[in-house]
Amino acid sequence: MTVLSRMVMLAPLFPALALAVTDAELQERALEKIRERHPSATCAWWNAQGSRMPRVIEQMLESPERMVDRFRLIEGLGCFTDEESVKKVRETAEKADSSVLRMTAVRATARGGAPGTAEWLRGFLAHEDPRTRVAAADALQLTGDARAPGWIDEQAKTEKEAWVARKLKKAASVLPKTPGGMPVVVLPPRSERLRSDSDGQQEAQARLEKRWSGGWSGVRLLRPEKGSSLSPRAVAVRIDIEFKDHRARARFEAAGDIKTRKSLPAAELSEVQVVGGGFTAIFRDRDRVKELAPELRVPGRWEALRLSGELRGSGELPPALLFEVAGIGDKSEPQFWLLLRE
Amino acid sequence: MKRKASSVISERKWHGALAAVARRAVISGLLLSVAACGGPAKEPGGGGDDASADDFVFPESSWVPSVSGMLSSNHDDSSMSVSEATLDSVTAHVVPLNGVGSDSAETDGVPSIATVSFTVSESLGTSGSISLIARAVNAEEVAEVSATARVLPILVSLTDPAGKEFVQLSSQCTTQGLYSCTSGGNCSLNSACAPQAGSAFMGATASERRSQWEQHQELTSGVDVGAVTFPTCRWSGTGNLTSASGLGCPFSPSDSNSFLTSGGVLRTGTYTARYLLLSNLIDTGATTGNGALEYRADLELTTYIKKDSDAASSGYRGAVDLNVVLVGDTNVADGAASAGARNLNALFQIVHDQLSQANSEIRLGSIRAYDWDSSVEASDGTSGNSWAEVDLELTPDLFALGSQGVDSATEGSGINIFLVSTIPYSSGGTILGRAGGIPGSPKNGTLASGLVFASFDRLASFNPGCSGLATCPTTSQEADFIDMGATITHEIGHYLGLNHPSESDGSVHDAVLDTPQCTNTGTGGVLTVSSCRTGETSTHPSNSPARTCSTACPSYNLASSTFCPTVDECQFNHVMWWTSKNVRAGGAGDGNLISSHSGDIINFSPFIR
Repeated sequence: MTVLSRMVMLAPLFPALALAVTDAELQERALEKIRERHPSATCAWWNAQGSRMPRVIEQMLESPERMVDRFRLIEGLGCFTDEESVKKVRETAEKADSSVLRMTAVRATARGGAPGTAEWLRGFLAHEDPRTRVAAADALQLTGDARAPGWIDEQAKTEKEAWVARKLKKAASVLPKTPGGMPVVVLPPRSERLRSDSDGQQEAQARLEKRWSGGWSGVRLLRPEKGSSLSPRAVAVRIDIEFKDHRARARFEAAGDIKTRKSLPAAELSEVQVVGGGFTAIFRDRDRVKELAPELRVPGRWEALRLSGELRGSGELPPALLFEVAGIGDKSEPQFWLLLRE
Repeated sequence: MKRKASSVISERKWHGALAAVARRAVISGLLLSVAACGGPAKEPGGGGDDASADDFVFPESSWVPSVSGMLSSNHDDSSMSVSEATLDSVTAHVVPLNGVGSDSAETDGVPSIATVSFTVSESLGTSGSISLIARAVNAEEVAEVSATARVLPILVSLTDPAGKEFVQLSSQCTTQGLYSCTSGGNCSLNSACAPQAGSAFMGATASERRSQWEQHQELTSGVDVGAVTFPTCRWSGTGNLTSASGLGCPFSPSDSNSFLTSGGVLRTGTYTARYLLLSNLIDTGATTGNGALEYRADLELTTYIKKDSDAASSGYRGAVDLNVVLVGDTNVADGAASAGARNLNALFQIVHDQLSQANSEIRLGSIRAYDWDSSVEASDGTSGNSWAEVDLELTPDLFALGSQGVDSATEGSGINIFLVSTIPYSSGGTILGRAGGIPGSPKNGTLASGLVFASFDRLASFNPGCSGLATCPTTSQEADFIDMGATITHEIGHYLGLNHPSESDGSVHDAVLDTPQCTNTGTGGVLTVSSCRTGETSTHPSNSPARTCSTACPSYNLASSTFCPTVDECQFNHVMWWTSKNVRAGGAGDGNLISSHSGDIINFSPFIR
């Protein structure tokens, strides 16, 4: 048993003594982490250090030895959602005279995702510093708030800096990102895979206009540093469905720059079920809901999503439908294949 | 060299960053066994033939680099040359992540292993090398599956004119695949698939050899280019070449089983390389050992054949050139300011001094500095400001795009360095710097064509103690600044082929004979200065008597700024130590050593000329 672990065990009996030791040890741990060239301190790591860590971080922020320390400590503090931590990070963003520090703090607020973060971040979409506006858009997307794309899109329409507008539009079209690695795409069994051999548009339409069900794909992460396994990645699905006159207007959008962005202008959906990660949602045409994104967001880690329902389309339909999935570790977002079976 | 004024540049658009790979010269599958032998070689520094005359060039920076000791005459022109040849592309079926590939033709006559040959027509000398830069191009079919889908060329075999196999993958690779996947898509690394002992990809264990093999081909980073340089080592003795634990160098000039001739040089004649066009798609049609997918892509292989008759350890062996791009209005303005220029010069002085230490024996030859501000737009409409805050995950795109803006004449010889403001990483925090690959790509326009570093908008405000001075001595430099210089050297080390001596968790090591290993992790589960001082299990093999880090550096004390920067038993004193160093303003701190054998590896790089 190490000296440290003995002290930890003594903590209940000698709280003051143990506290001092713990703070020093926490400071050492924090320092080691924030000094990493490629930081590995995720919010999970920061939170695992316990409830004293935010106060230790604040102490360290009073006189950081290095410039980078300050940035990374703010990023660490952003992982905590207690009132004091949230206040400190927000104050840093609001009062920073350096745009780099401000951007760091703005992004940091999204890491912990304290209540009200999205609304607070929205204010930075109109900040006088263009880079801060972009950082706020990125951070808003990290919050996963369903209103974020709309807010960002709204700002993009009035944005005067062309390069900022471009980044805002891009930010509005992607979903939150989670820790990186090389994403892999699981192809469905060959027998169920939609092949591109339906080379005639008429044939493709005929195929799509029939009842469909099934189709799933798991997105996992290849973690190079471990090199040993493919781990499930946290993802979120966004399907924008708008019901009008008992008919569904569905947009299944591919993310990013993919050329095959498709939409179903007048598809009719009924009894749509979305199942994944212990999550099930059933939508009926009577449910007049304009924006279902929050309900359709799968919160935890999961490996597969299954969709079933009935789709009767009209108009020009694509040969394959791609669902947008939040991505990580890659410039473009992974997609789901919606498999269509006759 | 083309130079354009900023005002002119801003009116023009870049050509597509990846236009270079738009050519399609598919060789029939029937010709695969003899495909692409040789190819038109180009003179060193001749640039790629895929860059049109009107390709965009960044405007020259206001910053005029001035680094003491940096001279174009540092290049080893008298005895060294590098020839580049891009071979005709070869079509193959794409293999799923859990697939194996085959030389046999599929139903359409195309195999799932791409085979190319090239010829080394003259002796390369004792310091000569062969670098293979592989790209998978024309992979539209895979791209249609998913925007995330990639095709990565993986070298599975390289045979020299004497039939010696450099890669030596275990048989399980061809029977079970690189990864094992269940029908549900759960995959794990097939640990039985790894280069065998005696492979050019060395390691004491199969997992280390697998790691070396993968890292040097960017398999896990998902970029679109594989870059490998042979020889991968250069030392004699200590270990049987086929021993799993001896770290014997298969390019040892003194061993009869060596990949080199008795004269210590790579063989002349025809080399044959075989590549899997591996995708990140998982085929769930079977549990393991899947065949190829129906999709096809082309392998484009560029060879850099380096001829260098210099003996090792014969003084300075060459120089490296840098293309430094200041990205974003703030960095560009800082570079134009006297304080910014002074700091930039001091920054690259650090890099020059660290690279030119005795064991690596290379210097900076030249720095070409460019400005990429808001007035300069790329073909996709992005300006420098768009990239000034570049998410870590987008840095490969920065490399692919930005490398098209440097002088094309420097392709293959100049390392592209992008100085941005920050590199945020949504889950991990601010990044200091990143290298595009281990090693990096001499070809521009790839996802691994550069390095990126964060300036934190401080190029002009670093080192206030040097205010008003023309130069900034180390004693007046900030710790962050000194560390930034070391970070640049570190990432250049990656780009030239070096790994971390030990990876962060202490389980995988670099397989370089004279770098210390550390396996003792600290409380955070990663190697730290403290943990490697107290529990280092392996010592520098060349030092006698053998010492551990703690015995060689007993007085280390961070609080009192007592360091031991020259003690090479301590891994944290090596420039390739996996994380940042302890460093104080004024320069006191951990060392930035390059071991002798690491220096040999660096010098095989085609960038060192």
